[in-house]
Amino acid sequence: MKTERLNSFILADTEKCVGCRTCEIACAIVHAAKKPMTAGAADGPFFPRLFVMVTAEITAPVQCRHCEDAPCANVCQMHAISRVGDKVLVDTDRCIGCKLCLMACAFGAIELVPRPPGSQPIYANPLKKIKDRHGEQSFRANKCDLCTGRTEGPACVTSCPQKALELVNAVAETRKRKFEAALDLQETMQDFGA
Amino acid sequence: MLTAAIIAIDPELCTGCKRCVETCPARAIEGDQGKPQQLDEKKCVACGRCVQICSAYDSIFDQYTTPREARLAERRLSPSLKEPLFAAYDRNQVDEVKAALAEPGRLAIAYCQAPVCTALAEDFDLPTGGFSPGQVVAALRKLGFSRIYGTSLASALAVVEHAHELVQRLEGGIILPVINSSCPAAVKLIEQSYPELIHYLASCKSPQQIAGALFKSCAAQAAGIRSEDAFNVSIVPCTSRKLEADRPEMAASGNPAIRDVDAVLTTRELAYLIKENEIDVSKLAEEEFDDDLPEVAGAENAYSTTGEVTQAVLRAAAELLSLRTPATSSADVKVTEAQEEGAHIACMQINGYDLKAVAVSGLQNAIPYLDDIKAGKRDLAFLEVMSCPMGCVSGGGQPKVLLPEEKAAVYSKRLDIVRRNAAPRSTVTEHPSVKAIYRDLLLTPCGDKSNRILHTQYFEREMRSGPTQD
Repeated sequence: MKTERLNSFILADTEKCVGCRTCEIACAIVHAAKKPMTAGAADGPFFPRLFVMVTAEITAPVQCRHCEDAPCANVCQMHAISRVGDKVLVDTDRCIGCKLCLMACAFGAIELVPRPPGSQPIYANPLKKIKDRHGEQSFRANKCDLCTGRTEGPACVTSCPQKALELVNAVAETRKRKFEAALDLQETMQDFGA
Repeated sequence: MLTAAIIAIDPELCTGCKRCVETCPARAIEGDQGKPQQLDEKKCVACGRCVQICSAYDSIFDQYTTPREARLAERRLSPSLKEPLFAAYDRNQVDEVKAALAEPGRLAIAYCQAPVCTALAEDFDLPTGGFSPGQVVAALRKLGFSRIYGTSLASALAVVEHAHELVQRLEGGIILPVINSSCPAAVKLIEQSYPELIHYLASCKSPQQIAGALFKSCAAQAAGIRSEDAFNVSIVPCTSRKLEADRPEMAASGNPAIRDVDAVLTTRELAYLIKENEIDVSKLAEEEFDDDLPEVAGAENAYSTTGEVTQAVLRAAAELLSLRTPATSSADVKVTEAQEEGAHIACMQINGYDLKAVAVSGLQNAIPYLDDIKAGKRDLAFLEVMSCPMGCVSGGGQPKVLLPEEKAAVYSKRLDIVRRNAAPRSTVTEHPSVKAIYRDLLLTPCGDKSNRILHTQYFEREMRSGPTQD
């Protein structure tokens, strides 16, 4: 049944998050072609896939929730966004940077970022290669991929100095809560001498 | 000279996470959670821990009132700099150094500490130790420095002078411990928060200032120029050395306008200067330090990490004491593992003296020791305080390691390489170069002339409130 394989996602504990942006830096580094160890070794801006929001009351990073009926995937004309395993991923080789996914996402979790230098431009129709856009800066959609293939798990979770981030498996989470609720119920009954 | 604070926090980039507040040993940073923090210049000891921990950077997905070009200009950084900028930063002196290098008739002297050479490559996306010290020397020569020296002679002199102070105080029954004065952040913390301990501080200057005073007179003389035409650039892993170089009393010639050290560059600033000049350090052939001033093999290491100074000073004190009573030649310096957080404890028995020395990493770890000394509860002969977690290899001016989980391993690697590059330790008190410089210039350790050039004074600094534990 479908609910057995709900997508995973990352959730921040707003009580613990202090808004230091270490998660953003870890995310940017893990996804960069060249991985700078020091600030001086970074030769351009960071392109994180989660975004720390600082409000008057709380700070917390916002990122892709890997929606089950993902509006970004539904709206993509190029079929560049799809569900793979327990995540929603962007196929950057198909993305033409049309920005519909940005508009469709309820969380603002998708940003357009420059393609790495030297990468091939994408054509909506391969037969219509009208002019050579070589050398022009082109952009693609960029969003959380839950650090696919990283054995330690998502970099934002492992690097957070406050341990404020968690990779949530919704099915396991709700099952755990049901157990806890049942145990609470048992204790309540005992308190009443039942 | 610097006119503004050494460390600043950019209110537009600060998210108010307060991790800098937690790490600041001087309690110089304040502010509400989630709001930009304020740094109190008067309390700041310029250790640069906040600069190293700050992770609030200028995101391209955020909108700021100040454009990046203006932010770079405000920090006196090159407009071509590509790296992200962080809220906590140190003011840089690259422009002053560039101006001095371009000035005709100026003798630009650079001297470079070992942890700088080791860590520099990290800011060029190369592994720690990716540039050899000889390649760093070659790069400095390419930048236009006329003289390039190491700091082993200055380090050896600092050790000799410290050892003499220790022996004088031991034999004279004068108050102990001698508190090592090499870390300017620790010195300022004592001046402002423990004024009653000022007279425990060794009056000997740090190697940076000793080198500055020596090179200005000796190198200028050797080059046949006036010492005011020499421009000393000290290249260090540390931000608080800027504060130290700025101290008005750091002018050994007696003319306050002739500074011992004219500019201090951190490892990061040296990387900026090299990048601006598009020098590929990894392709340079190794070159030697200038040899018109002697080096003292092995001594360059004494200030790389916590505990090294303590060991060197105890060894030198043992040499001095055994010289007086030649029968005791088997002085033994034992270093045991840290017994308290961040502290190494060393013990030495010699000539009836039973000496205990403690070396502490991290200013906050020194506070219990300082409190105890103030209360007369510690029986110590020597206290070394290094404000950074692993001493100078992890200094506030070193390349900033981005991920917190990688920091400890990088610092350890820097230390391994510094140790590997260093020559084997030799005697400092009996070293021919040290003996020669005392014979020709300084006369006797802790004597009139060496006091004038190698020693300094400390001053009580008024604070609105102290940073000690509540």
